[in-house]
Amino acid sequence: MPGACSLFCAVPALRIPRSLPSKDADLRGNITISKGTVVHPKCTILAVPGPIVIGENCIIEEAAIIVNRRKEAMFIGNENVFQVGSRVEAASVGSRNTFCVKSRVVSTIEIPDDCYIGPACILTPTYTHPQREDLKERLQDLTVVYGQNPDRRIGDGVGKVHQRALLAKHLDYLRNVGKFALPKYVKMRHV
Amino acid sequence: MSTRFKNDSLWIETDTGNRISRKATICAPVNIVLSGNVVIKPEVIIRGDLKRSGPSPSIAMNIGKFTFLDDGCIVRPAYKTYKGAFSYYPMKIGDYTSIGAQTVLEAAAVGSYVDIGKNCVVGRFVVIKDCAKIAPNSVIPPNTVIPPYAHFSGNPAVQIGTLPESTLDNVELAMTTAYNEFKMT
Repeated sequence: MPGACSLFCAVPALRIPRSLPSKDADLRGNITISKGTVVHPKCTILAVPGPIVIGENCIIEEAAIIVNRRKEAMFIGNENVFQVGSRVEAASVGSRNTFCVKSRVVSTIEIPDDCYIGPACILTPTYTHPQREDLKERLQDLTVVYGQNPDRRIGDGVGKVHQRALLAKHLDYLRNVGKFALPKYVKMRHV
Repeated sequence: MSTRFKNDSLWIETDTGNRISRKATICAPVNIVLSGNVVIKPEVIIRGDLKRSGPSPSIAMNIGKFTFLDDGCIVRPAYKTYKGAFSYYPMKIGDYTSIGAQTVLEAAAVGSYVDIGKNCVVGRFVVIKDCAKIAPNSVIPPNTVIPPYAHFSGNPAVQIGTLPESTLDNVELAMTTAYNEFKMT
């Protein structure tokens, strides 16, 4: 865990090496954001009981909410995309996941790698008999959650190379200092 | 800026009759065109900063007259890679269109006289033609084309009916009345 660096009154301990958080974002608590991550305006990251550690090259879009409801640290891997209005309270998040628009993940779920949570899906642990004692569930890698009463399938990983290339270009666009996109139009937090 | 209204600390009214809440988040207004008589309510997020890449100046968002953006809706251009180059593509919203509260709109084009309900998700590069209607809480998958006079609903959204031929006049009257009776409080 990084030591407290009192840079902002609203953010007691925020350490952001070479990432692009915009000033409008609501960041509270002990948050570590690794390099390359882009935080859009109007998103919310609440690390109030426990800290949140966000990996490299993630995109957190506007109105996305990341909450750590537990005392332990919430680790988020690399190359995740939190789309508009998604709400993630998961215990942990691996790498290369996509959380679509208005999706929601509850705090008893652990997300591994390469998962895709579809638009407007609410992801809760599946019902088992007898009921799990701790109610916790870890998804499989490559899980796709979709539809009205969220169904799950395991993907085969086709298109992952393309997806990563698209993400790299997307990040490149957003970070392109002085030309267009975020740094030109959105006030950046200086760290 | 006119001061016809009492509570102008919360709202801005432009010469062309656009009524914009100060609580709305409008990124890069320089890239957004409002045709007039547009109402933008509080907590709306409009992303004008996500515009087409390249040196030439371009407009990210074009919003027609008598259009309502209800509380908390998010309007942002869609992105894709074309011939290897990543870019956001401009969005066009027609006249007399209403976009419901909490809706996330990433469409390529929305026609005129369209009614989008609340809490919808409109995917990337969706094209909504004129006089269409989207029921509340619908999820429209990316690249869908919604034909004129269609009524769409569900997750994923499918057509559940057609609208009467009088939709155009009905919607125009409703939106004009809503604008005239709108109080900026």
